[in-house]
Amino acid sequence: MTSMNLLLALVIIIPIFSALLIAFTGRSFPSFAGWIATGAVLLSFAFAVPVALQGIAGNATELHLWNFFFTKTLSIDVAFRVDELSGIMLFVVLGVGGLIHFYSIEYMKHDRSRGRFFALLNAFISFMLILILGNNLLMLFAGWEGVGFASYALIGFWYERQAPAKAGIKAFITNRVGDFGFMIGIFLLCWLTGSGSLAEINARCVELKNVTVNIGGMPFGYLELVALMLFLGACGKSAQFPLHAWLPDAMEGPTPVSALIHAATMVTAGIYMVCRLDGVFAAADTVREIMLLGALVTALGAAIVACAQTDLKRILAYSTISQLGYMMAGAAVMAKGTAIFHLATHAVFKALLFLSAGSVMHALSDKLDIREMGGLIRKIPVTGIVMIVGALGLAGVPLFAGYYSKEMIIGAVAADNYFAAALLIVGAAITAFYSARMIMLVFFGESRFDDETSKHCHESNWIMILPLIILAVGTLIVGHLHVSEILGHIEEENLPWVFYSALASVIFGGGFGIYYYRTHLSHSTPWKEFIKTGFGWDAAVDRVLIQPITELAKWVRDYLDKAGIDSLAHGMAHSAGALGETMRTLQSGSIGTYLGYAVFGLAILLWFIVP
Amino acid sequence: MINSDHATFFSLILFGIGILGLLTRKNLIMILISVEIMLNAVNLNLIALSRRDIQGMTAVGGEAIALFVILLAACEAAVGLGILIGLKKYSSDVSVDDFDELRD
Repeated sequence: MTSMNLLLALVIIIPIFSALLIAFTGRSFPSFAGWIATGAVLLSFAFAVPVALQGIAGNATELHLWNFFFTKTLSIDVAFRVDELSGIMLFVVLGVGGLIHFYSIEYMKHDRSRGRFFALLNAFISFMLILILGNNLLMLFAGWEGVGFASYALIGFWYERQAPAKAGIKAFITNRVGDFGFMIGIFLLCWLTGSGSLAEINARCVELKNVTVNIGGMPFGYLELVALMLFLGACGKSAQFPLHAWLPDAMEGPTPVSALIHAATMVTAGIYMVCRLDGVFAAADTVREIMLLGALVTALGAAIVACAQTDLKRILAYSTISQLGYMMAGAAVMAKGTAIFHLATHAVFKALLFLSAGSVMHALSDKLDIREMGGLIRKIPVTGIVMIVGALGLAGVPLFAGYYSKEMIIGAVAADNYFAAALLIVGAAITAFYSARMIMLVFFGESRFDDETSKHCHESNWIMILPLIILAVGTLIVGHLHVSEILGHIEEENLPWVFYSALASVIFGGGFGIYYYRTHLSHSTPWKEFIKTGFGWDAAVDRVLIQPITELAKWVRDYLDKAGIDSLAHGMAHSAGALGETMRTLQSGSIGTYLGYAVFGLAILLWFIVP
Repeated sequence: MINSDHATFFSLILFGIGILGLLTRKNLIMILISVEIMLNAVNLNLIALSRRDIQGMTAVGGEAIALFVILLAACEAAVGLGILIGLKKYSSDVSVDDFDELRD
């Protein structure tokens, strides 16, 4: 075992060990749980740096531990691998994750279940590491399901309240729909290639491109089918239309959870998977058209919805969905470098935005409604400045992170489809608009909160501020790193109109937002209320899916279970009871009757015995 | 000439009397007596049948079993009368209708 292998093993083991330690003993030292969890992630990060740098440089580190299972045709190892892609992901997961852990120490200080919180947070990091480092489909899937569980448990962290518990269930069930597709995709791939290894699958997809299957007499490309199923999985995890509805509700969890899971890392798993299995998607042209379409709907729709939100975290949640749409668009045109670049920049500035939002909540006694904020820049200047930096990154203003990555995605999409690129440019304008709206309503204009809140309004302490500042600096730096080039050359359309119109759209959208919301709120109208509900998506799903299924369940309950199975069981019990009731009269206790029975029995016996 | 067939018929009649007494009498002493009559009917039958030649041999076993049955009847009478004396404390006329505790 070389030193790199050893480091890689440590990177994975430390968070797992820490999670178990806190889970089983955290009760006895709740105040230290946060420090232990943070220390574990930062230690893991320190070990990961050399491994990840070497991976990014092109020297992949592989670690084969043991054979997971084998059949006649398929053998799966517990194996990990750090190459260019997982090297970048290591930095994102452990770097941003470590900062969020650090921030949580202060943020969760007063929660009595912080042991459980940090155990779950570390468990999440462990599963995410398995997901990004796993060298075969099954390891990837194990991590994939693990983060799904951790996400469920953390969204529903405050399970005593109904809304978080419901949001957790919603997230889990929506993800199951995607996982169903993902599992079928995995099975089909393993069946076709006879291998679980990611590298081998990608390599073999070129020769297998023309394999077809007949479904109802129609020939379908086998890999098209696989890619469609995998895309369904990515939709669930990365909150793409139509499986996006869980992400805004997931904001019921603690704010660091929103930052860690629902902005920076977990939701990027779908994008990562698509980029990881790019060989499969490269062989599935039709599915990539569908992906691009879905990504455009997601990017534009979520951006519009974000404009109408009044809850600070929900604005950020919808903007996350929208930005994930951008990444998916980049992945759909096979420019995985741009997708991963935007993933990395987005992780930094969105974590920054969420953590700043947490700091704002902290200052305002957990208020989240931006209609009751305003003028906060005077009260909490540091949070204000870093959040503005984050918003500039999100809006895609030059020098800040989002500008470079978003520009590259639009360029890469333009090389494939002008119309799609134009729509993404419109989306960029909307993004800039709602970023400006959010900042103006929270930090500028007159104060709209009451005096009581104003009295308690204070800047957070250094444990919360330090990660914010590091992430703000990161937002300035990360756009200038040439992340996308690590993953190979991107075919980009360097047309001036793309570049200038994207820039102009950002300036126009942002400027309009600043001008429009410079002093006051806009009035609520029925249209805005409709958009605020995500174009009535939840209600529609409720009407089309949930209510019929509930009705069906009620029917099954009333007619199959109650009328069918229950009455069968009750009928058997009742008839046995009635039989017993009849028979018990035979046992009269009277000796004379008994003697009569005996004689009667004797007579019957004689009847049979005597020929 | 009285032969074993007559004895068998007599035993049948005796057994019938016993059963009739068993089913119709209410007094436990009479029931006990009926049982004794039935046992004796069986004894008589056993002895009568043992007098018959079966395939040229005399079945002596019937007489032996009759001795056992007499022994059994003596024991039964002893135990039965013992129980009866006990029951007499609760009911003076020891009628079967007075005792239905067996149900419980």
